[in-house]
Formats: sequence, C-alpha cells, structure tokens
Amino acid sequence: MEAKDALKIPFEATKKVIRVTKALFAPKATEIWWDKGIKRELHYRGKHIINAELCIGCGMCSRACPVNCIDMVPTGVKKPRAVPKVRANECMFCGLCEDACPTKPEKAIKLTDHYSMILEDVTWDKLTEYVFEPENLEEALEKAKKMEELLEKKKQEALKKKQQAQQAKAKAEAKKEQPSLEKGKEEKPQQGDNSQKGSKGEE
Amino acid sequence: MGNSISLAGYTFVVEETKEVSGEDLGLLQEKLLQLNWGVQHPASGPMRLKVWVDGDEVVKVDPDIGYVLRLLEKLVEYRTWQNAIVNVERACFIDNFGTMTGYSIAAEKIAGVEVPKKADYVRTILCEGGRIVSHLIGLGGFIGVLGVHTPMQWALIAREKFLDAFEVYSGQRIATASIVPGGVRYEPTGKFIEKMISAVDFLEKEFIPRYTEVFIDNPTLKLRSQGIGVVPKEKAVELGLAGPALRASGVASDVRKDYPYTAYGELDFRVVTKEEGDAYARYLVIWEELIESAKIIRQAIEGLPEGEWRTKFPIKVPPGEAYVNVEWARGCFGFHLISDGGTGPYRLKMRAPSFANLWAMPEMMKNVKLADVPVIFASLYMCHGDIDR
Ligand code: SF4
Ligand code: SF4
Repeated sequence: MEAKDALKIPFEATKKVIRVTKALFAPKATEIWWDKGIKRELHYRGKHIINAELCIGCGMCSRACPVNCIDMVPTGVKKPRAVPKVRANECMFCGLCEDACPTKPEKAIKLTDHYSMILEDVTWDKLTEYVFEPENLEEALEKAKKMEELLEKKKQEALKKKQQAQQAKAKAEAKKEQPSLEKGKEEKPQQGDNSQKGSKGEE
Repeated sequence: MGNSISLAGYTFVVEETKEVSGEDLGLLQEKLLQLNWGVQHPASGPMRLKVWVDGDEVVKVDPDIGYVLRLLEKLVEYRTWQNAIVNVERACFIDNFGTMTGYSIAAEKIAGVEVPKKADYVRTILCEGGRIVSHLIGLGGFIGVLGVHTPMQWALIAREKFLDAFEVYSGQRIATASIVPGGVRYEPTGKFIEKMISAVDFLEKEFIPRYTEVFIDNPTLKLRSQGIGVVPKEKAVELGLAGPALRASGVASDVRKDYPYTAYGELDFRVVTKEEGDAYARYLVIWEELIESAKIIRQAIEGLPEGEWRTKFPIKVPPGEAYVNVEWARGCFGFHLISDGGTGPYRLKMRAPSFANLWAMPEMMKNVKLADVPVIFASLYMCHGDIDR
C-alpha cells in the first residue's frame, strides 16, 4: 500500500499544479454557461414545443395545468379549433400538460431540454409577453385550410352526386310508378327494395 | 419590557417569574428581556421565535409562524386528482416524494385502484432517496447552527449526486412531481438506476467514512449537545413528538415498520432508536437512519420487478374518504383526503410532523441557557414548509 501511495504522490502533485496554473491564467472566474449547448439527461423538463400540425385542439393540456397558464387561442379553422399558448412566466415546468395530451404516438405539446430562457431588460410587461406558441402554426393552418377545402370539395361533390342520384331516382320512380299503378298493389314492396339498393350504390 | 408583554395580553409573566425565582414581580419585569430570534436568523429560517430571557436563562419561548403560509390544503381543492401533487409536494421541497406518496395512496384507496408492483418499488426508492437528501441537510444544519459549516458543504456534495439521479428520473431536481395517483409518472430507466447506485456508492464509500471520522463521536459536539433538551420516553409520547425526535427518546415508532406501505413490507431494515432523548441522540438517529436508507435503496433496486409502472386512474373518483400515514423524512405525515365524487379532492387535511415537534419545543426550552436554543431547535429537525403549509 505504502509503495503504491508513494508512487501516486508525484502524479497527484502534477495534477494539482496543472490545475492551479490553469486557474491562474484563466481569464475569469465565472464562466458563461448558456451558450455551451449543455445537453440535459433524458427528459429534462424545459421549454415547451407545441406542434400545431399534431394538435387536435382538445384543450386537455389546458385543463391539466395546475396553474392555469395555458390559454387556448382560437385559430379560425375547424381542426384544430384552438391551439395552446403557454404563458411561460407562470409555468412551473411540471410536465403535466404533456402527460394529458392525447395525440399518439407523438405528443402535440412537449417539454424539451431547452432550458435557457433569457430575457434582456426584463420588465413585468416583457415577462407577461413571454409565451411559448406553436412554431409551425401558419403552415399547419394552411394545411388545415387546404384540408378543409378538400373536404368541402368532396362534400360538395358528394352532395352533387346525391342530388343527381336523387334526381335519377325520382325520374326512375316516376317512370316505375306509372306501370306500377297500372299493375296493382302487390309489387310495391319490391320497388321499395330496388330504390334502396340503388341509392346505396350511388353513395 | 414587562409592560409591553402584559400589554400584548401575556399574563404568563407573572406565573413564569414566580417559577423562575420567587422574587418581587416589579423587579423581575425589568429583568426579563424579549429577544427576537429570526425571521432572518440563519438557523431559524422563515420563522420567528420570541424568546424571553432572564439573564442567560430562557423563561419562555413563543414560536411565531406563518411566514411561508401558502394555503396548500385549500389550493388542493382547486386541482384535479392528478395535478394536486404539485401542491402536495410543496409541503416541503426537500423530501417531496414522501408527501406525494401519501397523497397518492390516499387517492388510490378511495378510488380502489391497485398500483403495479414496479410502481411500489420505484416509490420506495424515491422516498428513501428523498429521506437521504433531507437527512443530509438535517445533519449539516445541526452542526451549522453550532458554528461549523464544513459538514453542510460535505452534505451538499453528497446530496448533489442524489439530485442528479432525480433529474435523470423526472427531469427536475427538486420539485419533481413524479409520483401520481395510479403509480409513478416515468419509467425507471437503466440510467436512473445507474445514477442512483452511484449516488449511494458515493454516500457509503466517501461521505459516511469521512463524516464518521470527524463529526460523529466528536468531543466538542458531545460537550455541546449531550444532556440538552432531554425528553424522557413518556414525555415524548405526551408531547406528540414525531419522527427522529420521537425515536431518539426510545419509542420505536416507524410507520414503515408498523403499517408497511409501498414495498417496505418486503424489505429488511431496522428502526433506529436511542434511549437518551437529548439533542445528541436525535442527531445520531438521523445519522443512522441515513445509513439504513442507503441499504433500503440497494435492496429495492435489487428487487425491482418487471412490468408496468402506471395504471389508469379515473378522472372522477367515487365519494369516500381515506386517512393515510406515511413515514416522511421528518416523521409521520398524515393525509385525510375526502372525495365528493368530483374531478378533484373535496378536502385534504395534512398532519405535519414538524408542526407537532414545534409545539413541543417551548416545553423543552424552559430553563435552558440561551445558547442552547439553536441546538434544541436544530435537533428537532423541523421544516418551515410543513409547519405553515
Ligand atoms: S408544464 Fe407549465 S404549462 Fe404544462 S402543465 Fe405544467 S405549469 Fe402548465
Ligand atoms: S396540445 Fe394536445 S392536449 Fe393540448 S389541445 Fe393540442 S392535442 Fe389537445
């Protein structure tokens, strides 16, 4: 043991000398840490990322928040009807909003390992203005609008088809009714069946 | 001075002075001096002790609390079952796992939810981690009030390792919000277990030997704390002391052993007791519990079962009530939770151990020397967060 310890002494001493010399020539005692890109481990609970494309606007995150710091901002489109906006000044980074979000497999609201939230010239107004908003909101809204338009088109097409079908049906019925009137009561239920099948196929 | 006391409605001066020495009242009133210990005193924390002294002798101590009142019990009523944990854990941030566990068990009892075994084990690991973190600060704080600040720094170094483990587990170091009704919020990953083991290793291999060498069995420390603030066994029960302070008086009361919750029933540990009941005994109880907790963590990590760590907890809980006790770092913490069938608790009453210890303190501080006030105060191991709530 003693021999080992004796061997260690010069090594330790050199280490210490190097450390002290380094400290002597280092420019400052306090280091700036936030631009070093430190990675926190696993799920650090930092700044929120809200993905408006995934969000369905259910508002579960807003209800789960213990300090009620999530506002649901109406978007003007149908889906998502509203997207969350986090008032960062009041948030305590508990992560319960992330737990509550129902989207799968990826959550629409997530806490990232981004922890440097630096404001300069901090006043109360600035603090209250400091919010986390969905980053891709415009794209998502555009997409949503396109989707809506598409849906609208489809709907109108469907409607047109329906109307056409109805017209066709009406015509057919009008045609069929004339002979049926002549033939009598027994064939009426069969006609009803035919018209139903026809309408299903058209849809 | 005496006049101002009687003006404030304190009639005890007459009684106390008679008790101290049967001298003439008028003379005694001039002798009595009121000292304010706190609010900014480094040892007292956000709390004020009104100390009346007769020379060097303490006549009466009156704690003045309420400086960190946050209305936690009331705030819980505005929460849902899940997110009420953020208020419960803030009873005291140092050991936040114990309080969250107690609340969660109470909520599960009402809802009739069975927690997976893995969640129980993770809760045990976290609770013991919280206990170690809290005890470290208690040890450092105790010697800190005697004027030596080195042990506090050592304790904080050891504590840091545990906080690292908590951060890996939950994403935050102090307010972890990690235990919810229905289990625990995060999966205990390999990395967390690794960090926890390395923290326990550091505690057992580096901190404990070094600390034992210097601050346990230390003659100066013994001189200062032995025979001070003695509470005999019967008196301790009568005063309603809790936690390490109760066990230091020879009462082997530990909820973990008496009414096992989470995984404590399956683990092997002993309840630390001391017979002396003085400040030094309380210090030693904290110290030995620290060593026990490290062992519990090792056992729990070894026995960690596979499976789920969280089950579904209903949004609406049927009406009912439950009372749950947990052994928190500072003693037995009681939760009386009532549900009226809504989406959140109807009422939560917390019975805090520090509050019980606080009101035993004036009794213990009668006729001691003024310099012993901090020693007794620190040895009772109280947290202002859960005194006020
Ligand atoms: S992380 Fe912030 S926004 Fe999300 S629930 Fe917690 S306090 Fe609310
Ligand atoms: S972020 Fe998630 S929880 Fe919040 S509104 Fe969108 S989908 Fe719902």
